[in-house]
Amino acid sequence: MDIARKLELLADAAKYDVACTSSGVDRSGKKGQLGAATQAGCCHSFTPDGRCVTLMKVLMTNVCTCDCAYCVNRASNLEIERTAFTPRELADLTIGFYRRNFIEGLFLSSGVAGSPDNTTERMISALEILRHEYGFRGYIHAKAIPGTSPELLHQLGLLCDRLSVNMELPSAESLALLAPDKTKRNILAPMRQICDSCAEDAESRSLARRTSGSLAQCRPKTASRAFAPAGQSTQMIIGATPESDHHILNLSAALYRTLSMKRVFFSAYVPVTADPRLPQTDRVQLNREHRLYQADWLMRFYQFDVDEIIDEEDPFLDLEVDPKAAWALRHLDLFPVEVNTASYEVLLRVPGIGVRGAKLILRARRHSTLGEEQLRKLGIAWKRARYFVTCKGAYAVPGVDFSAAWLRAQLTSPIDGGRHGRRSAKEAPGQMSLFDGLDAQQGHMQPAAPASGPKTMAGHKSTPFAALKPPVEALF
Amino acid sequence: MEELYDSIAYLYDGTLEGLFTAVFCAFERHEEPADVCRADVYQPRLSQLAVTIETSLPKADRVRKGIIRAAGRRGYRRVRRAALSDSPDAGTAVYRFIAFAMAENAKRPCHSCPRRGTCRSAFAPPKQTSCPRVVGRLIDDVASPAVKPVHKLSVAVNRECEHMRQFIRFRELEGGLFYARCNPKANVVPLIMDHFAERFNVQPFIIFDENHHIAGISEGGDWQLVDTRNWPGHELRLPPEAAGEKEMADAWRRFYRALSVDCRYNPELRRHFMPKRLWKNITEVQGEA
Repeated sequence: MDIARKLELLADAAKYDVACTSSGVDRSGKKGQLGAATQAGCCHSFTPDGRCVTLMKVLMTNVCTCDCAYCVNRASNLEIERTAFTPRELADLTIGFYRRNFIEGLFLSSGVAGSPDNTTERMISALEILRHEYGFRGYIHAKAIPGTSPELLHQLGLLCDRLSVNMELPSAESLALLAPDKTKRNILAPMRQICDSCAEDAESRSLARRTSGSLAQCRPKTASRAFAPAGQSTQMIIGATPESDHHILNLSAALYRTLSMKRVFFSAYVPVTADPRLPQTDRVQLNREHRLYQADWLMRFYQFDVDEIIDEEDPFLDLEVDPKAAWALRHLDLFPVEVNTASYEVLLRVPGIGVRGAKLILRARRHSTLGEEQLRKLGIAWKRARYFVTCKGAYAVPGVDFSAAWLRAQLTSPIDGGRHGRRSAKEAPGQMSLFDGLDAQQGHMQPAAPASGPKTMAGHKSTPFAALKPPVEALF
Repeated sequence: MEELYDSIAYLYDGTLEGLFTAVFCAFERHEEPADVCRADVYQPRLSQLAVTIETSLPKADRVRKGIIRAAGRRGYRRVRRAALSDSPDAGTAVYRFIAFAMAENAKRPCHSCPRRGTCRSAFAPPKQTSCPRVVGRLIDDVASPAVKPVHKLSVAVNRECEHMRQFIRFRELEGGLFYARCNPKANVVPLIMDHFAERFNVQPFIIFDENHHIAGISEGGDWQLVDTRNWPGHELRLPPEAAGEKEMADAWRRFYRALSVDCRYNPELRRHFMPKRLWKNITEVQGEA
């Protein structure tokens, strides 16, 4: 088969994998070797659906012995053409693309052909050609296949920058229902191994780099490759099974906390097959995915705890307002805040002020007192922030009824007469009907629609002992 | 002469040195030009006197040192980025920022400073005209009318740099040379050459900016700039494409098309990240624009 045709097939088979980042590792160039990597990563192209293309995301092969209901490559799918790259073809193609600045590196995943160990060995040989023969210093993201032996996984980790194991679905029951070949154990075991190996590697390196003490002489003369220096990530499919946002966010918080994940990706379920176990709809829950990512950002960059974002009584995120605004509407007793005196942590909690805006405010207010005009100049989202801040002691919006209902109406009113962000607005509420097919079959509880009215101003319930939070094993 | 004209405009040749010379002249002649503008984009105002400034490297160097002294290295880097912008206001913004920085420092003379007993700056030779308490934070005052334009321009130039790092597409020519054309909004080739020279040090390559007629040429990790403005046709003469280049571009295009998920179709989002003005030099979307 023509190599371009192979690439087309294997890229098409890999496109439902959402994780496509090239960040997390800073590797300078080296004379005589191709490639470098930067901490922030770099997006090289954008597909018509607006997603970025930063790595050459392909499968080693789309032959697969697993029969996961949601997957286009499942063994029972007879409609697709099966093919495989040889390690040499893959390495040559990666180098060719990299030299033309098409990509930042390689994202290598694979269907399970034969046994997981066989598959991983093929992936390793492709990466060895890249790293050792071509001396490639670009970014490599590899998927660990569940069921691979720990030795091979370790070898794979030493060749790539980021490793990831797909969580696939947010609970073990769903996994048993839709992906019978995968088990909770063979997904969590490699995650744990990667987490431990990364920590071990980082610690031994920091010991070897110490300049004082008796170990200074033991410093290695040649640099050895680190184990997955950009850490690990994972992804799960949202909306194929009836788990609530509360469950999903608690699970991802536990992943960040106990397995030191760099990222947890959510992928709205895209129907690629008519299986009776799957929701029978062609709608994609893009809005829900978006809200989940917003909540994820709040946990990672805005110092929010998962219990502040969502609680058990109301287990789905509000689709009308974003999670941060929803939090603010529940805690109106803390607002408005004075921008000229509020601390960084408090500024971060104001809807409309982000990490960049909060830092700019801290810098700018050392020179002058900030009023509305200056805040607009700093580029914060004044349209949203104005309801929650005071400038020089005065509230910026005259004639405000400072109640949750009124503020919610302001925040949800269409921006720019509805011309702004119209495509995403099409996926309006009513998405929850997605679960109907499944509920009839399984007798699940119909999840409650998100409350659209204002909630009472109860202070947030924080767990008294944060350390006693459940580990991933208990949630998944 | 002064009675005839309300204001003065300084015209420079578009280079950073030219701009700094214009700033030097403004201080030297005790004039306050209303506009400092590139000669090729200047639009005269009513009753405005336009003075063309001859670029002088020693004067420019004095201004460079002056900026570092008055606004710090961070301030200087911000100024340099802003000056590479295509915006006709860039010169004026930079001039006003420098004047503001000098004035802020002059407000805090060392002889009346309560900290002069402990401040290193007060005794350091040669005699300093800057206050360390002003220098470090001057550029952070982004809400101030003198700092904001420079800040904004430098952010815009940074963004354009990032676009170029993302969307430069090389083609292999005969003899193993890699060549890319680009059409950025600001003169960013000098700023992105380091990035490319680092990662592509095993291949000779040329990045040609067709808007500013500047080519960055790199081989073995070193690079230099060539100004092609005065060349015949403003163009480089290049060898033909290498064999197999067409197949490689075609494979990339097919890969790109295969990646899209149809039910998530969102062209507005793509245009937001990948502006249409750049498409003519991006291999995978070249035909679509």
